[in-house]
Amino acid sequence: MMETSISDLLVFLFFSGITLLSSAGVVLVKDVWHSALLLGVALLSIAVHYVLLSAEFIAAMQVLVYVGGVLILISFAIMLIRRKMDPKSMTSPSLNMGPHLLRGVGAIAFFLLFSSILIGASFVIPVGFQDGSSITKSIGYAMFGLPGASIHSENFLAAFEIIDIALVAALVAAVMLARRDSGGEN
Amino acid sequence: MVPISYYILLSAAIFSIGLFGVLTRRNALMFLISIELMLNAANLNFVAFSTLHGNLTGQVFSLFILALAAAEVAVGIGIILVLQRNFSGIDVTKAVTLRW
Repeated sequence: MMETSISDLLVFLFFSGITLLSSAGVVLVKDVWHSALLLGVALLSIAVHYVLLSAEFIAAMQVLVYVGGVLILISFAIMLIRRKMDPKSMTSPSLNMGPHLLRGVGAIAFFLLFSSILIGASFVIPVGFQDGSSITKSIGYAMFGLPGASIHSENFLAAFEIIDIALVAALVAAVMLARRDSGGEN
Repeated sequence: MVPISYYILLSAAIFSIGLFGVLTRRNALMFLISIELMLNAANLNFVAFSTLHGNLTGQVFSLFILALAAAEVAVGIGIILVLQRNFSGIDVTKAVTLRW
């Protein structure tokens, strides 16, 4: 089951190309709106990688939460903030090249350092999930710390509740931040 | 599955591209977008190692990261709206009131 089939490899390489090109486009195009759209392409192609890794539930959540939620929030903010629209930049994306790209040399150095470490690393033989075991069901069991999951994992009940509180706190904080003071100085 | 080192290289590349965006751009929204890329790189690694070991811990963890990323974007956009209101722009180098 865990051998690399040539079709898997081809799909992986194709979608890796899409992921890398669109993420490079995200940081290089001039207009923020084009960046947000390219981010959508990158997030969808990462969802394809999740499907390849037999993580279908994570892929569905990626599409729902990131493409359906985060991206909509970001485009909402772009439309609230952007005032002047250059009609030329609206039609076709243009790259934002210039001397400011020299500041990114640290990121390239990080990538080179990381890949040079990776070349010397060795990994265990892939185990993978057994055929017929329900991954999504086991995720549900793991999140609530219930026995009976067909795939082993840690108990995540405490983490689940803490994330719950963190989400509520973040939503309240976002509302507080975005609220206009009615009688204040602003 | 595809060899794990390919996935690590891919996610290192995505992470570096996100870092590149944070280092080179000055628009606060571009910061948020680049941080999304970096979080996705981490998520990809979690899911890849989950499949490598046949253990679901990585997948559950990546779900938690997904939830926290959504919360982070909500707070970040609130901060950006306040930035726009108080500094009439979202250039991160302009908001220097607290710096001396």
